[in-house]
Amino acid sequence: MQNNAVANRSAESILYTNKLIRNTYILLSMTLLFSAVTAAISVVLRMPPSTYLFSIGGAFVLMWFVLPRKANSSSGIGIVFLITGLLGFSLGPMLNMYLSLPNGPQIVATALGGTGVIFMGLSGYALTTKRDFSFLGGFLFVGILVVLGAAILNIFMAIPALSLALSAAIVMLMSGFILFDTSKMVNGGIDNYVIATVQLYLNIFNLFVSLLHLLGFARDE
Amino acid sequence: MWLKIGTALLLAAMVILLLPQAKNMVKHSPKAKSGDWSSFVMPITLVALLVVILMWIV
Repeated sequence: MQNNAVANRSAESILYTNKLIRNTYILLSMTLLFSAVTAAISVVLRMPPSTYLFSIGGAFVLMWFVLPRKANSSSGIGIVFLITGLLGFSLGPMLNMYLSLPNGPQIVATALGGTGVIFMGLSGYALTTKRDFSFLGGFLFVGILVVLGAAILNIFMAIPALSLALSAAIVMLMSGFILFDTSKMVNGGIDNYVIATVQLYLNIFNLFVSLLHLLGFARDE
Repeated sequence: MWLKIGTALLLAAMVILLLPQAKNMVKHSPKAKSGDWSSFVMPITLVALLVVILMWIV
């Protein structure tokens, strides 16, 4: 009797985890498509560089102050689309800059393809091995704080080598965060697909921007 | 210049908001078991190799 109860609970837990993963990936693919549309609009409209700051600032406010309150209600999905739409829109000026380079479309396409390969590879790895990557938490968060601190300094110092090193560090950190966040869905630690979607989306967004920077630098010689 | 100041303020706000979470993570993250770090280093090395290849071919 007790064994049956344990088996039922375990089956329920597996079903719940599968549902969480499925819902997260469905919402993630929809938000990625939506942000691609908003990015395309921003490119076509030739938005000024300040768009980047205002859109990211708006998305940041929604993410930290609105999403936590709305994540468990149906309006949470609307907030996710608003956040990802704003982040996609913020890419317009940067994409226009890269697209104007010789071979620019190739750089953007390679960054997009590379981001897709890295995300699918790492997410697939974390899902199939079912290994618990929660031990990475401290390392990744300290790493991101160090990168943010160095990025603040580099805004005013404008050292190209530091900028390149920061992009490389962000690619590595976001790869770690993909493993960490995917493993949280599999092994517990997150039970809301709206929050899980935003976390994975941010990993993909930062990965794409940093990869674009690295590829643009490589092309610039 | 105001764009630089705005970006710096945004990044500083991120640091301030992430700091408590980072402290919490450092204190409460489970310790790595044997083989955990190698299971992390292996895919990350592959990512680094892929990035180098992409930088080379672009």
